[in-house]
Amino acid sequence: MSSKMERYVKQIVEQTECSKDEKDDLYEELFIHLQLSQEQFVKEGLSEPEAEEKAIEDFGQEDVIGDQLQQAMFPYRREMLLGLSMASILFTISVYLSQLITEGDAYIPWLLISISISSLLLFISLNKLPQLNRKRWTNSILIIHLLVYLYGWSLASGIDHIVTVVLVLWAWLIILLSLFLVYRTTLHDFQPNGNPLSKKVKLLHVINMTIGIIIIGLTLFFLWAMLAFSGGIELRMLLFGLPFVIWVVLYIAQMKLVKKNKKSAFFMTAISILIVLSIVFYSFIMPMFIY
Amino acid sequence: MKKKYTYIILAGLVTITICLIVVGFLFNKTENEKQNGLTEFFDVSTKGKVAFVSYTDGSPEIFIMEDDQSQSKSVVSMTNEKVILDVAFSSDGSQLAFISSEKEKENENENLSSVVHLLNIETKKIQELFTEETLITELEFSTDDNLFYLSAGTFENYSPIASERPHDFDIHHYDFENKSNYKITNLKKYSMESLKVSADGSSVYVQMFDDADAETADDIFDAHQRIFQIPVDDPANLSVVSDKSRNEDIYDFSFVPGTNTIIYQSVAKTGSDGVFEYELFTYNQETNTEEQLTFLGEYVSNPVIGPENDTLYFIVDKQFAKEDSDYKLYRSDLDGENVTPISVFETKKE
Repeated sequence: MSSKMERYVKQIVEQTECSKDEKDDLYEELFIHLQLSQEQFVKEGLSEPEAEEKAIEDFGQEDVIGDQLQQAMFPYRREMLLGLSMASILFTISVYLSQLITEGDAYIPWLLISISISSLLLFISLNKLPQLNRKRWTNSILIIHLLVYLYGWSLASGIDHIVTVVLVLWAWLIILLSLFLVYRTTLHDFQPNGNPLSKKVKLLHVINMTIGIIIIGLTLFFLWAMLAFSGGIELRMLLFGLPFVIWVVLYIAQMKLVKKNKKSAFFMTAISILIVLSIVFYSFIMPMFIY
Repeated sequence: MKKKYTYIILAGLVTITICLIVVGFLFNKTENEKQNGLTEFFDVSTKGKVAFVSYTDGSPEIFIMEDDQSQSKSVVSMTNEKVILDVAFSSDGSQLAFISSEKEKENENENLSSVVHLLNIETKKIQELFTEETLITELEFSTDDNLFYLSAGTFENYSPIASERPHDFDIHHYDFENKSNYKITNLKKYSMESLKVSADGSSVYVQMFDDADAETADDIFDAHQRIFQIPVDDPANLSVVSDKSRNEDIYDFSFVPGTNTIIYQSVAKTGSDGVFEYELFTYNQETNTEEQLTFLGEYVSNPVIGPENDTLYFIVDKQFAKEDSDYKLYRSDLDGENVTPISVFETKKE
C-alpha cells in the first residue's frame, strides 16, 4: 500500500498533461523534494508521520500545485482547450437549431458525436479525465474533433439564411484552433524522457502533419466527388484510403528511424512529399492543360 | 474544481442534448414535407382568372385568383406524397386541366404514373381524365378544346454527373370524344418543354434541342435549344420557327395571338455574381428581329399572355442558383413596361 506522500505526489502529477515518461520524471523529482523536506522536519524534532504531514502541508494543496505545474509547463494550453470546447458546444447547438428551423433537418447523430467529442475536450481541459492526459489521446481526440467540425462547417454552409455567414466563420475558427492545438501538442509538448525534441524531429513532424492534412483533405474531397457522382458507397472507394495508409506507415517509420538513421528518415519524407505532389499534379494541374 | 461541479456540468450537457434531440424529433421534416410557396406552374384564362400551384408543408394546392386579383381560393389540394406538375385552362376558361404524379419517383420507369384531372371552375368538381404509366410534364388546350400533353418515358440520370430528370419525350393527344390517347411524335427527345398549340389545333410548338443533323458528340454539344413547329397530321415535317442562327438557347416561350411575335426566355448576360441572368425577349418571325423585353437582372421565366392580349404574366425566381427557389408572379404590359409583382398569397381557402 502506498504511503500518504506517494498518494499526494501522484495526485499532483495527475493534474498535468505530461506523457507517462514525463510524469515518472516529475513524480521522482517531487517525491525526492518532499522526502528531503520530511528529513529536515525529523531533524528538527518531529516524528516521522508528523514530519510527513508537515512536509505535505508546507508544499501546498495538491490541486493548486498540480494546476500551477500544468500552467508552467504548458502555458495557455488549458485555456485554449477550454475555449475550443466551449466554442464547439455553442457552435453545435447553433448549427443544429439553425438547420432544424430553416431547413427542417435534425442532424441527431452529428449532434451526439460533436457534443460528445467537445465534452471530452471540456473535461480534459478541466482536468477531470487525467487518464486521457496523454499527448496521443489528446491529439487523437483533436483530430476526430477536427473531422466532426469539418462536417459541421458543411452543415453551416448549407443553411439558407444570412446567419450562415457567421456560422461558417465560426466553424473555420474552431477548425483552425483545433489544427493549431494538434501542431502545438505534437511540437511543443511532446518531449519523451524529458529531452526536448531536436530541430530535425520537429521538422519531420511539421512536414508529415502538413502532408497528412493535405492527404486527408484530398481523400475526403475525392470521396465526396465519388459519392456525388455514383450516388452510393462502393467497395472500390476503399482505394481512396491507400495514400492515407501509406502516409501513416511512412510517418511511423520516419519517427523510428530518425534516432538511428536521419538520412533514411528524410528519404521517406521525400517519398511522402512526392506522393502528395503527384496526386495534386494528376488530379488538378494536368487536367488544366488537357482541357 | 470540485466533483460536484463536474457532475453539474455533465448533467447540464446531457440535459441540453436530450432537449435538442426531442426538439429535433418534433420539428424534423421529411423530404415530402419541405416544399413551400408558389411554383412555376400557372395559367391565365381568357376571362382573366389566374390558376397557380402552391405548396404548404409539402402538400400541393391549386389556387384560383379572382379576375380583379383581390383574393385567391384553394380549389384543389392533395397529400404531400403528390406533386402537381402543370395547369392549363380550356379555351373558354370554364375548365382547368392539371397533372398529378407521385413525389417520390423510383428509379427509371417505376412509379412514373401520372394522372390528368379536369376541374370544372363553376362546380369545382374534379374528374380523372386518364392515367398513364409515364411522366406527363405539361399540357395545353387548343382553342377547339383538344388536349395535348408532353410525356416522358423515363426519369433517370443519363450521366453520372447529372441529376435525375425526365427524358424520352414525345407529344401526345387526348381525344375527349373517344376518351382515348394517341402519340403524335416518335422523337424520344432528351428534353422537350413549353408546349403550345396553334389556335386551330393543327400544329403544336415545343422547345427542344436542334440536334437532328448532329452526327458527332461535338455536334450534340454545339446544338442549341430552339422553338419547333410540329404539324399534328404530319409530325415528321417539323421545322424551327425561332431564329435558326441564334447562338443562345431559348427556353420557355409564348406566342402573342394574332401577331408574328414570340416572347421567349433566354440568357441575357452573366451577373456580377457570376450567375446567369435570364430575361424575356420578343422575336418577330417576319422581320427576324429580337428585342429584350425585361431587364430585371434575375431569373425570369414562363411568359403567359393575358386576356385581351395586352398583358404579360411571368415568374421570377428570387433565389435562382440557390438551394431552394422562391418564385414570385409578375405582370407587365406586353411591351415590358409597368412590371408589377402580384401578391398571390393574400389567399382565402374555401
